[in-house]
Amino acid sequence: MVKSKSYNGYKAFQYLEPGKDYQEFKLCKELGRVHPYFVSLSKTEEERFERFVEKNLVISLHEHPVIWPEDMSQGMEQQHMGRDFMAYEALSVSGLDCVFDHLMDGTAFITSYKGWKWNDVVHDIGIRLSDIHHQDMVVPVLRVQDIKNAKKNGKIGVVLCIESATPCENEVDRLDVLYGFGIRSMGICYSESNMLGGGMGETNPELGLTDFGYDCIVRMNKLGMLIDVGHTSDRTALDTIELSKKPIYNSHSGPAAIAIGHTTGDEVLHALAEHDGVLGIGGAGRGLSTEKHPIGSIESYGECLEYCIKVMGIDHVACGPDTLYGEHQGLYKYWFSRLIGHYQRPGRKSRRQWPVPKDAVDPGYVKGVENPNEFINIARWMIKNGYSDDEIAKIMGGNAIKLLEKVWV
Amino acid sequence: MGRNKKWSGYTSWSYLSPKVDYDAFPLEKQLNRFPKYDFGLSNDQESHVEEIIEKNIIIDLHEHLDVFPEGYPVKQPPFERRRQFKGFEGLARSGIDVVFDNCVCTTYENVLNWIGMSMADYDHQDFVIPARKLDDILMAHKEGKVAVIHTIEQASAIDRDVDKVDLLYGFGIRSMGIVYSESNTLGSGLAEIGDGGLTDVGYDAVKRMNKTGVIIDVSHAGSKTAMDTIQASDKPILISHCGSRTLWNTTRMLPDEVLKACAEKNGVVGVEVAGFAPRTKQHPEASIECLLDHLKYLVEILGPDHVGAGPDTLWGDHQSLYRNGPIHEIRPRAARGHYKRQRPSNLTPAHNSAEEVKDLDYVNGLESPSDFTNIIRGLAREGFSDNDIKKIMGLNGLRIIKTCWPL
Repeated sequence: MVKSKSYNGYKAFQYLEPGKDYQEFKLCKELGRVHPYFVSLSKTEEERFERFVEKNLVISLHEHPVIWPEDMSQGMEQQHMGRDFMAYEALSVSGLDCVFDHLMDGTAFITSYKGWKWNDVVHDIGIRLSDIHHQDMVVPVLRVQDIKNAKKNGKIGVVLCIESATPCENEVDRLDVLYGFGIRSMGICYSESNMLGGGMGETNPELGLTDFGYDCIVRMNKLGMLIDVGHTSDRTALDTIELSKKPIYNSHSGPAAIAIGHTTGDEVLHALAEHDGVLGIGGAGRGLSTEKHPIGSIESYGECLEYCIKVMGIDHVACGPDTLYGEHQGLYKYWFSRLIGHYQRPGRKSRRQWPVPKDAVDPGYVKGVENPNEFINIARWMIKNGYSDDEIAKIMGGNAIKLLEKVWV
Repeated sequence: MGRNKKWSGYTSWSYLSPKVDYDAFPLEKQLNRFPKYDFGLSNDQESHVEEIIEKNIIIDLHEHLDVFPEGYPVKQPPFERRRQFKGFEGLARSGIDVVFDNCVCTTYENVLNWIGMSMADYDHQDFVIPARKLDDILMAHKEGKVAVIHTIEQASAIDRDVDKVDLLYGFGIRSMGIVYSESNTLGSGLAEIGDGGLTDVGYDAVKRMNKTGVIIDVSHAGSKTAMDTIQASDKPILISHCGSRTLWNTTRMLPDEVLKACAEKNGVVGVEVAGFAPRTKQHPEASIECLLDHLKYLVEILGPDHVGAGPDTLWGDHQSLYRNGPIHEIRPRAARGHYKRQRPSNLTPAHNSAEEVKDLDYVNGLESPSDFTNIIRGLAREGFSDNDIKKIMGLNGLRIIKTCWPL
């Protein structure tokens, strides 16, 4: 279906001995863990799809392309070891030319199950880079040309990203250091607020960008670091869009106007588009839930994609599904249950839910957008739903490249 | 690859504003700080030296690509060391293709800062390439660029966590000293009274460095620690900046027996010249002649395949640092809780004493990395063959890189 990359069989950390150099966990299957679901196309549509992926850059703005333990209850302990296993074999047949890898971050559990510590986040980056620098199918992306070269040479570019600047504490210079380590995208804050601003999970929605957050934006603009508002509150996102001298992006979200889940309000979508930014449609483990498709799937994804294109224009939308290789919803179960020391604050709203038809089957994962290998399903959905090749090319990678050309060195 | 390097004129931190984003001050000149050293070569010999530089990969085994503030340390107080100013101009005129740049920091935090900041600087220009694999080095030579190999002089930052070897490799470190002149969790430094050798943690670290593909260096280790490391390692060892204790009796020099063990395992011994470096009875003051004396001797006892040069200089008054006492994280150790300890009277001194040497204010003929190719002039003057010069000035270093790195 898609051309595979020049892959020589390298498996993560194969320069080391499992059990001796690192604690071994039985990892899940990286290919076919669940039955793959691809939008069915006619013969001519299928040929069109094959030509499309051959010719155009396929870039995901948000993934965690690593393999989790088969038994997700071991997930926390595995993260605590500080070694994530990149899915080289799966990636080699994924159809992706470039993937924005958002690392451990919140699950960087080496010294604490709350994640986000400087030492833990740095440890994750260093260990991942050590692995990447022992093979040559996945190439670290530092410049736009690296992405184009990757496609040309049958390789996959990886852009290292951090979802939140929490590890920086109150040190602006840490942004330079992380940039030096190869980080090219930095989130303002996570769902929890930090020293830069208010997160999307914050009870008070008016908590916006702080003065230190402003300092960070100035420094990131100078560095050539792409700024991400994927997890911020709408207020923080609006502040960031207004104050950044360069375009920014939201690597992974959906439209709050029609969806429930990881979502962002229309006001932010408009502001992003007006300031030359990009929204990557997200979803993560439960996907985006709409009234028409209350169980997250490629159909709800497509519905959200369509809505955002209508609101923002075809030039300001891309895709960042935020998937991984493993039982994603199981991760939430074990991770959130570990969050002791977090209390129910008065005034906190609980999450709504669309009504689910009685006969609907919830497979426990996002059918059609379950892992990074299903990213190209989005192109298939767009073919099926009447989009032109030019439009699909923009959504699948063209808009991402244009954004990077404006922001990176 | 010669003097025609493709430097665009970039200087450190050009993507930021001085005084607004970082602490700025006037810096030392990188070129022509001192009169040119005369080797007495004929015009033909000079042309021949330039031809060797042009055609061959020139590898400097140990430097600090650091430009000091003007007048530091004599006329300036200690400064914020988080951001270094790299000698782009000095490198562009040096004739060097590949250079091992060293971080001397002890702590994990300082090492990370050095790496991250250096890389952030390099990522905003195209002339200096951080070398992570052999292809980077070959490409640098071909395209008129300079490949920098990031090195830490002591592996203290890893403490007892062997995974940090991988992590530092991931960040671009491709060579590590086991220990500096003071001991750490891996082994004993050359300045200690006793030498317990490589510790068990040190042994684990050596094995992990072999597996991950990090070159191991023992230039600052005690001689037992150095020998233990050479024996424990499955790969050849690089002694990047040292000299022979037979010619100059300090523990800063390694005994011939250790140097021979290194060579027998296909390693390379680089001679240095700055600071408490090798001197000789004929040349007791700091100059390129000391380095040449030790080079000649080492080629005799080890053969031309196991010798190189790692002068250990920078752009600035580095000799003053040594004159004020052993340097440690740039502040004098006397002000940081370092006390005079009784030492057995028959102990080999760690460093040169002021009475024995008559050091100039600078290293005559080899004062900064820009002077590196003067060594070729010296070797030519001493009658070394072209083949031996190519080995000493590059091919031996290249061999170590090819043998130890995975890519």
